[in-house]
Amino acid sequence: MSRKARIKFGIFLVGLAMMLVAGAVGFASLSSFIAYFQQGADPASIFRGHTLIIPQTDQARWLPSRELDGIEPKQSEREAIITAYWQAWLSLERAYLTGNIDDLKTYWAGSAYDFAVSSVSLDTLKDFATMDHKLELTFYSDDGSVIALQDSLFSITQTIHQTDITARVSATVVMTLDQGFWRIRQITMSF
Amino acid sequence: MKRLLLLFAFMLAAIFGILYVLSGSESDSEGIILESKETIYAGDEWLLSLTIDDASAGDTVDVTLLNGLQTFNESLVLGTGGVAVWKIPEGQIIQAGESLIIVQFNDKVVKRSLTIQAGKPTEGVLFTSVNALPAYGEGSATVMFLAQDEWGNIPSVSRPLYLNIRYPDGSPPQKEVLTYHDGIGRFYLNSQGQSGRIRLAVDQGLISTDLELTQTAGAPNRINLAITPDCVLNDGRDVITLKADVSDQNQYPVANGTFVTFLWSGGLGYGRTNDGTATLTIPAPNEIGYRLYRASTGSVLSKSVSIQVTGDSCS
Repeated sequence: MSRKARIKFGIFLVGLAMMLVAGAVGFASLSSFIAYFQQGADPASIFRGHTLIIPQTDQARWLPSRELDGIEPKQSEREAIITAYWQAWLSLERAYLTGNIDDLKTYWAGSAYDFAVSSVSLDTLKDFATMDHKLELTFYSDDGSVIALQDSLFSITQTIHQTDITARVSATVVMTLDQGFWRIRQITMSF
Repeated sequence: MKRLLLLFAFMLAAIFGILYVLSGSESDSEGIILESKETIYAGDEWLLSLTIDDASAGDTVDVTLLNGLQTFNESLVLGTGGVAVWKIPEGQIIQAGESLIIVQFNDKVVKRSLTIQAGKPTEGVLFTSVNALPAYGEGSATVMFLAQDEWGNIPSVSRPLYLNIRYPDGSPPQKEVLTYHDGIGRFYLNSQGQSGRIRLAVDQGLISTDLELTQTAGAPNRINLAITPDCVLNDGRDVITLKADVSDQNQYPVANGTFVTFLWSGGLGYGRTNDGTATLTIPAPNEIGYRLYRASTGSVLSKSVSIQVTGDSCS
């Protein structure tokens, strides 16, 4: 075989290999593309809200509450509340970092939502983090849809003027269960 | 002598106390002096004057106010004598609570708190733990009230909040105090009287909000059926009245409008309850003998009642 023919044969082999790979990838993509339009929504997805990731104890934890007027929430309800509360602060953290406020309405409502939205500024994106939330339940309605809680001396760290500032904060919070989600509806913070 | 010493000690303590309180209106740390109001209402304008001893005109100082979720910060240029003024116009510091002022100059940091008081309640929402409750004192509900001031803060409630309740039994309206703490007003309501609507309202100051609850009777559990008269002549000129008293398991009348079916051999008729009673008036039968009648609603059936039809006379 001449040198020219060997080069041609080499090019043919490389091209063949590339075509095989591209064909395999294309076939797989086409299959998933067709499959995507052949299936409806996962029926179970309507029952899913945000993921129930219970925060670590150094992130947020329940303190023993005084005797409540109404009924006591079950352990599972306490977990749902503390998860939503923690997620609310995480959503705020993301909003401050990215300027994207879309996620806030999942965890904040009413006037607290207005406060949260107005505190996000695209001009001054910043690092923001909270830790050590200690929650004490002060009210739990007998239908399990409204709670009041006290969050004592949690820490907020944020970067202001290129300096990390950490402050201890207490908050009085009212949360309501709206369409299956616990949301912060009212909040009063004291530094 | 002892009394004099005690008096002297007391006066000394009072003088130190007054000096301590006065010193609170200014904060002086490492030559940074802050002057401002210590308490304002949400939405008020706020002024901070600061003086830095060892600074000169043209130096900058970073000032920050952490107000709830809001952060205000600015770099101020100091004037002659190391003086600067930071003004935040009204309508900006709106979140109630204790805010934190932070002043940074070179490596010096001064922190001080500013109290933001919430305003009076201007808006409120009433809601309850249930939409309907059993009537006749058999049911209860928690009535809750969420209030906010004009900026959305949990308001300061200095006067009692009243809940006006009007039950469907026609009794005079009741005025109950809403227990208000932790940002939620609450009242534990018991039903009263027959089925119908309970009207709730908070109408106080700038707040005017209302809500309706439904009191429902229990499901039919028993029917007492009566017939008048119980004897007629067979001349076909009489009418008879069937009266069904329908009650729930607590012997209270069922909800108005409960559908009742009256049954007899060869026919049936219908009625709806009003105050627990359904009636049906029909022509009397004219075949001599006894005829039985019953009434039913849902799965509940009454005992039979009978009428005598005679050709002679009713005794």
